[in-house]
Amino acid sequence: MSAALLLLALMSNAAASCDLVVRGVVVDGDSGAPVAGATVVVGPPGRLISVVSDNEGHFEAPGQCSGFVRVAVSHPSFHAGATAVDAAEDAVVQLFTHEDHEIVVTEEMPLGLQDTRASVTLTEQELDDKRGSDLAGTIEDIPGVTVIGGASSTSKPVIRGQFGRRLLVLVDRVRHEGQKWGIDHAPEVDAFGADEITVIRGAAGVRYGADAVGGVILADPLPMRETPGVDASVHTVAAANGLRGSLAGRVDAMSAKVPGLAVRLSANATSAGDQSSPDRVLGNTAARELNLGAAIGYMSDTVHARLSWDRFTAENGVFYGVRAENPADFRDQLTAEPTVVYTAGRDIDRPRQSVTHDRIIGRVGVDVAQLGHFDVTASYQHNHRTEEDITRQAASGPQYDFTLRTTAVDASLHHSPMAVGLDATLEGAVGVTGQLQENLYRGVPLVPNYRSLNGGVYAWERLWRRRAAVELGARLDRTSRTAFLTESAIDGLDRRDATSTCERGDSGARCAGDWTAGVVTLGGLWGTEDDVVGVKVDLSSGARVPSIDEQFLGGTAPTFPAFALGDPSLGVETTYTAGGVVHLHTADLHGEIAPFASYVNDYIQFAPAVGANGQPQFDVLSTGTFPRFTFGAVNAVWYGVDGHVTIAPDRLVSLDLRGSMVRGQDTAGQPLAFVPPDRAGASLTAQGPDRGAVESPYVAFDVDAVREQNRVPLGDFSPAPDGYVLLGLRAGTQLRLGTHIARVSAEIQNLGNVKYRNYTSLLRYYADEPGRDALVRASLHMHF
Amino acid sequence: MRFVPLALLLAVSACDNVEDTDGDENIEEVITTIVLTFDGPEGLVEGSWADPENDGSPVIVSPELTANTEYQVSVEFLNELEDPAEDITEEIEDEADEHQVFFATDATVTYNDQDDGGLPIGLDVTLTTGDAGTEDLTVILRHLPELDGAAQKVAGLAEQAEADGISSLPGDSDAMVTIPLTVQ
Repeated sequence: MSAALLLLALMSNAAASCDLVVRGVVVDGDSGAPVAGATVVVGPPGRLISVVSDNEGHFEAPGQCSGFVRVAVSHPSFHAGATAVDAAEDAVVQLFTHEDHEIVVTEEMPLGLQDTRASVTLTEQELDDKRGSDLAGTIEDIPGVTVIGGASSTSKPVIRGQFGRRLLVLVDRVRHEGQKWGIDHAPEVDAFGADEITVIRGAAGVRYGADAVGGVILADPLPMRETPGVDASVHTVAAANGLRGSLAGRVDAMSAKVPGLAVRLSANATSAGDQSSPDRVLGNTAARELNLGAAIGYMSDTVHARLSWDRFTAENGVFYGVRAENPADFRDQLTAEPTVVYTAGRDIDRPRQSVTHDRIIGRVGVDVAQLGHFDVTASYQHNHRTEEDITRQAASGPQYDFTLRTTAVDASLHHSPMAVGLDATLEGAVGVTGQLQENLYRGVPLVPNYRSLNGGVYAWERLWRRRAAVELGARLDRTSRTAFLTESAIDGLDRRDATSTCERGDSGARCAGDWTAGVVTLGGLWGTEDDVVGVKVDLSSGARVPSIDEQFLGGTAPTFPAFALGDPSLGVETTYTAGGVVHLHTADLHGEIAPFASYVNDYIQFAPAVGANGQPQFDVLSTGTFPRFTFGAVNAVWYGVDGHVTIAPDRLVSLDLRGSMVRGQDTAGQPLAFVPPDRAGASLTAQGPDRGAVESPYVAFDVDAVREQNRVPLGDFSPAPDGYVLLGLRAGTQLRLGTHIARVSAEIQNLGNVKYRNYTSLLRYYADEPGRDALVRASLHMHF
Repeated sequence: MRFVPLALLLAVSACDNVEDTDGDENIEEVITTIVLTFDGPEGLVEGSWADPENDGSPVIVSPELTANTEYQVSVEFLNELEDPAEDITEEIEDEADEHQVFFATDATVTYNDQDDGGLPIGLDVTLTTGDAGTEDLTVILRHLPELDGAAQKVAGLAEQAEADGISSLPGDSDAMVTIPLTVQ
């Protein structure tokens, strides 16, 4: 039986307030057949009208007021579903079931037009086929997304060439705050904790923060139970390369004695040994991860409240071959054949990094009659990262010790849709945000301590009329940050005549800065009546405040053989972006293509320093002579296109083609660093019919090709690696066991055990990427 | 992976003041300063390389030596980021079985000290100058920890470095500085 129920609700256009008729049809989401005898409950709380669909699946619920009305559907043979639809607007609402008979409702305009930017959502089923990957690895098949690898088994997501400071990760709708400036600092996010991941490509600064220049990744947990009962899920993953294993479990419960009160407990652990490239063990790339979570929630008809805590802990070995502390050693190993043969093991020795990230979120949401939905979220994050180099035995502690504490409050009001004229609706929200962040650093000179205060206000409104909408949004942020520099750091700044507004004290100095930054967006959506074509356009301008490292970094990092220097005088970076998406959705073809272009005024880039004589500059430390890399502002241009097309999506055999291209250069035509090379991929999938408990079995063959990056900036330590082609094979199925669902899948990555290096990976300076890997996954979702 | 109870975590966080920039930074492992003391006919002569802020702006003191003369040279490594400065030479002596100092120079250098295994350390050497002029002395402290259970510090490394260069050696360079010698 179908897993998704499609509810087509056709609304009356009558303008009077409470004499609207909500009409619709209930259809089987898979077969398209009408569903008779479904109970449909329509209306606001307290004024619910219950009707039953007829033989053609039609229903009619009179007496509705204009604005959002709740439509809930249930049927003995289908999973129940509910959503809110706008009674002033024709709408198509798709309901995705969860196995627990609860519904995650995605309220959608035709063709996924709910966001004016390109966006992709990975559902639980898709995530189950990627379990065991980190956050970046989970989303890297989405066109426009790539990863930046470190010198360990960690990676950072990249969207359209933007990462770290210009990319936002929101966990449970709270901005994730870690030491995200470091190339080998992966986001400290538990990938098992996400039941839905949405990737928005393109600037999304109004709703999420001015630094969402490249895009946003929303990692959302499953909503808490709304009805009494118990859900439990278990995931296991085993992988051959590095003999990795993961075990994850979660329990959700609501007692019938205390309806409305739900609890959740979760835990997962991953252990990985040293990985291997096709011809070599990558010594000391073992890793361990342990994540815990707990949440308690209360919900009534009008109030949702939740308190949650989660902890991410990871320990990652850094490849022994990384010898970046001394530039001479580094240069020697770039060309030399590796002589040291490592044996595979599970120990994590120095050099290594350890991270603990705690996140506490409290949220209260209230539906206020006539007004809308009011939501307040308070959060605290504690990020502790230590990095340990190979040292003399006498040095027992870490050389780099970072603590980042972030307290944030976000209040928003999503107002009820308002009728505008006869057939248009205005929907929108206003919000305020506040954040206090403190960074505490101890160790080899690198970044200063700081305290930063940020306040923001934002508003967006969207005017809908039939299949078209216009959205206007604005945001204003004020950031005030004081860096606390050590004596030696301020002495160093003085020696370099770095312009700064620092006040010297008894020991060290305070360097304060204030910035005001605004974001404005104008977007539009349009879809044809038959849902075949949809178009989105988004124009935005956003200003990003320089981050602490861009201003004050001073020192060498353990994995990159450069002496890095910030510039305290850097100002706000302003980006003007235009993006578009064209969707095509027919029975034989699903696809979208998304071009984008942006001009960045005072783009802050990290590049080799060139002196007045045109020659590269160097700094001499006791460990050797390092090329100097500085942060500086240039005017830059980014543009590109990404997209995918699926041919014969619902047939026995379907073909998916995807690709992405991004260019980044300054206005003098000099390429920017770390711009991902062009890539294209194809997947040929054969889908079998459902048979008994076996549902949606598939086998798929993947080809992914990456071009050599031939647009590289001057001063790179080694040439960009060659292009490569990787093959993969996947198979899986879903098993329905009563009310429980199991998913099993197996996968071989890099089938040909191809030796390759990734341009956007630090490992490329030291070794080939890991070779062939075989994975087996099993997930079980139980409902009691 | 420690498990700190939540309340404790919050309490601990509140104690660390970000405004404190002269606290116990415990910056281990950094070598900021290398001091060479030459004992010869003119008494004690010092040569040094010092970057006390570790920010890439070293002050180098070139020793004035006499041509074709033998000097007893002691080598010291310091971390001046710590206050008072930490003497790292002692640690190197303690872990002599995985450290060796190498010298790249036209002058002749012979080792006077040995670790427990009878291999040279290089904190105490004899340097014989050549003819008058200026020549560079590059001092390299090489860290040679055991790898996969096998010692990397073995006999003949100094000869290997002279023949094939420092990059041919196993291990990593903890320090590599060049001090010009003024030979009169």
